[in-house]
Amino acid sequence: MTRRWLTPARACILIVATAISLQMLAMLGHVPMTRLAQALWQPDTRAFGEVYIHFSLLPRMLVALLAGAALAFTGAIFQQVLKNPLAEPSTLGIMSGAQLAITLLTLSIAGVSGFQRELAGLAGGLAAVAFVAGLAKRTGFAPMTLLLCGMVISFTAGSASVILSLFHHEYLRSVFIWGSGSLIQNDYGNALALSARMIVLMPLLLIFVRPLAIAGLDDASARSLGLSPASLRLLVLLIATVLSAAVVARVGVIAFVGLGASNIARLAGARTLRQRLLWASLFGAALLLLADGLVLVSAPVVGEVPTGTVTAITGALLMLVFLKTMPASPIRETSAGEASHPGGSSRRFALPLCVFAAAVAAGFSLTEHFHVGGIDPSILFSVRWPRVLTSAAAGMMLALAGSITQAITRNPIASPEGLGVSGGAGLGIILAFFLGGMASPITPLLGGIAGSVLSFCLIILVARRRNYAPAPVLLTGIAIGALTTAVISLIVASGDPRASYILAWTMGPTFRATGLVAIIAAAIAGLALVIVPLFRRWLEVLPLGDGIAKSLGIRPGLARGTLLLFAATMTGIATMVVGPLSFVGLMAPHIARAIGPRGHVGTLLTSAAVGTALMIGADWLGRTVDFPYEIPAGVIAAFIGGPYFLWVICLPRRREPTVKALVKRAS
Amino acid sequence: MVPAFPMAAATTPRIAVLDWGWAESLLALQVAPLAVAEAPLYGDRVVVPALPGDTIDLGLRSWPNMELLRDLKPDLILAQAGYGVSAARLNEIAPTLALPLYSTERKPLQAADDAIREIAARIGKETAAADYLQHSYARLDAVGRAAKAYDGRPVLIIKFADDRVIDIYGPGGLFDDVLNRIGIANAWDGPTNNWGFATAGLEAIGRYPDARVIIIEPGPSGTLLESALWQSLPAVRAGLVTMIPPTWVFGAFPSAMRFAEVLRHGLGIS
Repeated sequence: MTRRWLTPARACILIVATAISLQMLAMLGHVPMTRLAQALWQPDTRAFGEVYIHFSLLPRMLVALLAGAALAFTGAIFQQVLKNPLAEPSTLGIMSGAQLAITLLTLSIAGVSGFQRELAGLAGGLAAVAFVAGLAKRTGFAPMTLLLCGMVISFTAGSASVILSLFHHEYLRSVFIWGSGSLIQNDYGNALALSARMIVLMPLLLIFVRPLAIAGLDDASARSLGLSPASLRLLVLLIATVLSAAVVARVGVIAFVGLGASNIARLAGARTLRQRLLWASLFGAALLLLADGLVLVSAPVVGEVPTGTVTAITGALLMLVFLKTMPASPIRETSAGEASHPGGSSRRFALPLCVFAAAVAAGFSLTEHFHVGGIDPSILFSVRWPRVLTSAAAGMMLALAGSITQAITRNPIASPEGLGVSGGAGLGIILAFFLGGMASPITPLLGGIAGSVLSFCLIILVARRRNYAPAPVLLTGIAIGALTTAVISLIVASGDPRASYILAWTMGPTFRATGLVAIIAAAIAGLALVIVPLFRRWLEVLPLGDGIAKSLGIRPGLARGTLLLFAATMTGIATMVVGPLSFVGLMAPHIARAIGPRGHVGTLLTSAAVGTALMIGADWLGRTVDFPYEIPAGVIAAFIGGPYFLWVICLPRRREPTVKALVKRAS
Repeated sequence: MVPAFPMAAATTPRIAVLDWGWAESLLALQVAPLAVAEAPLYGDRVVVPALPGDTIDLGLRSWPNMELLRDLKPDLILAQAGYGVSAARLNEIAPTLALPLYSTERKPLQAADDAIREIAARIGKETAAADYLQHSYARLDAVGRAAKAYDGRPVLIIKFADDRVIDIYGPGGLFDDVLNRIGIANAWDGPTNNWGFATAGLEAIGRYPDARVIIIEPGPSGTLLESALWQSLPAVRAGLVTMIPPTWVFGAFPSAMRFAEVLRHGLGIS
């Protein structure tokens, strides 16, 4: 019944009508009704209100329409080519890549022009897509792999951007404003530039994407254009990236418009590719205009919020809703089996070796005094042990959480960061700052715990109805991560002097650790280490499939829920200490599987030892490399972890059959 | 209250400063700090009073290097209350003065006055502080008297964040306190945040057609200055736009004095 009256055209008209009335309402704040038409077409240059409407609000409407249409169009193209309903410029890492490149450009030259910004954005966006597509190619662009690669690229580029903003906050305000996606315009420059690019690139995309839409992608139709299907696909990806990077560079980071628009188009009944492209573009334009109208109308009350932040927050929430309609993951049958790792007696010594390495790292970190020769060694020890102990505890907790996440999602490239619990904790810490101020360190701590528990509940809520299938859990994590990024970019763009303090807090500086915090963290980590062997049976049986688990008397839902709760708690606590950006939870279990003893408990314990050693090392490096400035240990770990992730994906078949097996089954 | 350092008269106290406002206040008392957080950036942003070249860099203001701080064995640490590392933790390293500047009182000029006296009392420089403040207030009053010759237009103090977004300084900020003291009206009557500024688009300037616009450098780009939008602003058409050299916007007393001087110069009141 709903279908009958809700046609794409009607839905679109409804959104546009609402958006235009909001925009008109905003305009009437500057001129009387009788002068509005005049102001739009031929403003009186002596009346600022009229000039403002003509040269700021009108081009702003145009930019919203054009950017919305272009992002939705490229989103629909990406979804078609990659056969992935959640692909769009932000989930593929294009936006983060462009943002990082533009941040670097702004720091290296003064007075960046629009054209230079566009070139940098293009370079960053292309690099991100090249990484993501290159990595996902082996899986035949399997939906989950693509999104996870995009997430890691976004994470790594994002952590680089955050560290740059922490150190160069004073110089990057303009980049932050651009990055948060403010649609304010001062002339028609951006509107003209965008339409010029769209007029050239959109028809070009249409020509090349048509053959790809033909069922089965037969070679004949591709050859009729003189191209192989693979190179055709590559060409389409390239052009779509160029278009979306141009939008990002001109307008800023406007996440999720492509995702929202194409999914609404689909829900409203657009079936064929042609319909989807048409309606997605129209919906994209309408939705961005609506979001901007809301921003404009509410500006006198709440101040001007960047439109990009609004779309990112709405989009992340939408994504959670769409998860229900997402087809079940094709990688459910993959086990993280390590059977084909080469055996050998050396594996028996891996665990003691890792423990020894952690101990040596701790001893070195506690006693070295390269930069601070004037401190008495006993005092040095007394001030350093809390940070070394907290780093160690956090590394251990993340490693345990990572091992369990990878086991229950049956996905060797999952990490606790991907669960969204780290993101949720970060969000909680930030909100606590604004609600409770900075006076007491207890408020952000409580905020962090509340954030991680809430995001965990959200995951349970989404995952429960899907019987804890891997895909929805990870996608929920991606959505929460996007939400956190949006809120952080809003804060740094505000010019609030607290921004750098908040950035420092969310990255979990280990120097902040007091003796009490260290002891509590260590106690929790120790307790976790004792509990983990009790999970052995679940971890062994769950990968064999729910049927076998049930026949062995295990309730798969309950088992997975418990493991998830354990992993989320560990991640939440570790986030307080090292921030949301480390990849220790991803790396440690991998290293453990590669070098450690077989069997789940052995792997878990080795993984914990590896995580501990990694984090102690990262804490020491962060303290030393840029003395007296400290780089957060989590960020150091992420700089090692990001490339490590890429290496894991690219491993040749005989060395890491797990990923390959995953990949085969996924495609 | 901890008594002043007994050796203050004999040797220079070793003072580590985590906030630029207190660094410039210390310099106003003719005392060079031993170490300042983000000392190189201070030179770019606060400009004057300049730090001695051998000032040690303590790392980020929000994230100072605690081990270096300990290694330096300072006699006193100066921090802004409620920011960064807590006073309790700093006190473990050395006696710490954590003074408020931008607080719920929303009177940064008065807070800066109180702070400079308190710092002086701690290092036995009471006379220097009294002299400095007396001289400064006399100077502010002189600027105030001269400002009577000014045309009386309210001013809008703005800083460009980028070409599209501006920060406007109003109640709760240091500049607003200075304007009050010298008797020039601040045009901005909108809400401001904790630090006494609001962020808006260019239309905010258009809302105050009678105001003179004071732009803290760096100003907007050439493209914006030539645009129809900028050219149609009432203040621009009436030629009521003044650029003043950069001044640290979240500073303490010396920043306030510098602002008063550049404003006096910018408005052409002598």
